Amino acid sequence: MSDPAVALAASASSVEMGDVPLAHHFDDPVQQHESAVLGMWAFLATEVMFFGGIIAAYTVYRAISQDEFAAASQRLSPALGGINTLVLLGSSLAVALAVRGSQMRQRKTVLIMLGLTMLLGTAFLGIKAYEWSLEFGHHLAPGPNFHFEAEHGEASASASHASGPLDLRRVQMFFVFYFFMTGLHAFHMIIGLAILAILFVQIFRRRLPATGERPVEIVGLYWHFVDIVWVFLYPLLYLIEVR
Amino acid sequence: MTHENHHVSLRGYLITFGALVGLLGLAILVAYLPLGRFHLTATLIVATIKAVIIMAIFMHLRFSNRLTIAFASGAFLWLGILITLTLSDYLSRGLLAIPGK
Repeated sequence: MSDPAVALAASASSVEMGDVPLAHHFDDPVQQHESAVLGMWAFLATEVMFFGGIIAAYTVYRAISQDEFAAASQRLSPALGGINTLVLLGSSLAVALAVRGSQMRQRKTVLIMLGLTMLLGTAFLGIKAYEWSLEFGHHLAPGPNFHFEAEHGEASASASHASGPLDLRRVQMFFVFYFFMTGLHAFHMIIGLAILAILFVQIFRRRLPATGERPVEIVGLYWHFVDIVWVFLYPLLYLIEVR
Repeated sequence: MTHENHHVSLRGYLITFGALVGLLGLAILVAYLPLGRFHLTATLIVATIKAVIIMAIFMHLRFSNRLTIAFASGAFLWLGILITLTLSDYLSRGLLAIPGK
């Protein structure tokens, strides 16, 4: 049960044997762990509602302006979005392996995997920033400089149900949703990266136990949630009607 | 039923990741198929499968107690109510010629 290396490492702090101390109002560590996980899921439920508001608004606008949303979506790059999905799925795997490392009491694995998660998360934000810069450059950001011309030649051939001219205000609404949804998601990523960085430093400095799974697992739940949001944003924004 | 006994193996995580990447490929493939307006349904089904896999295995919902599963399901149930009731309003406007609607 007792790992001498871990005990030596953790002896400087109040953390014993790498486990999270049992708070007095819990019966046993299992109950304490389940409470922490349940609390995090309650928070994630509020986050689903938070993103749910904008997704519901998106649904309404998409239902009443299908041609405009399809045409506008074609200006995004499904390839870049797909690469970003892959990067984010990879970071989810990394954080899952960090949680596994903490369950297996492998401090090094936890640190490496948390580092990899941050690396992939940063790569995601970098690609996202590049996409935004392209879209700003093409005047697709809503506002006075918004400029959109329907690509008649190719678009009308593929968009078989396109009828009549596009309502540019509704095209602009697509980009309002695009920038708000991806922006809100990126904001969550930045918060997640900050929390991961704090967790990494705390574990590295042995202020937090790498082997007590609770802190790593709770942060992991948040990170997976952010991944799930992107799993839905990708088809909603990028894959409406690809050419 | 302690959580300590529910370690997913490294292989299990890698297979999960492989399945998620495969589903991503499927979503992109489906998007290029000529499905017309069924694109939305098809890609959302794939996305939902991905989300369920992430929640069940990466987020350990499979090994969690029932209360936690109820909280997680509740979030999506409420999201469904939000979207269904909103759409039932917007999509049914104009169906009846009620003055002053």
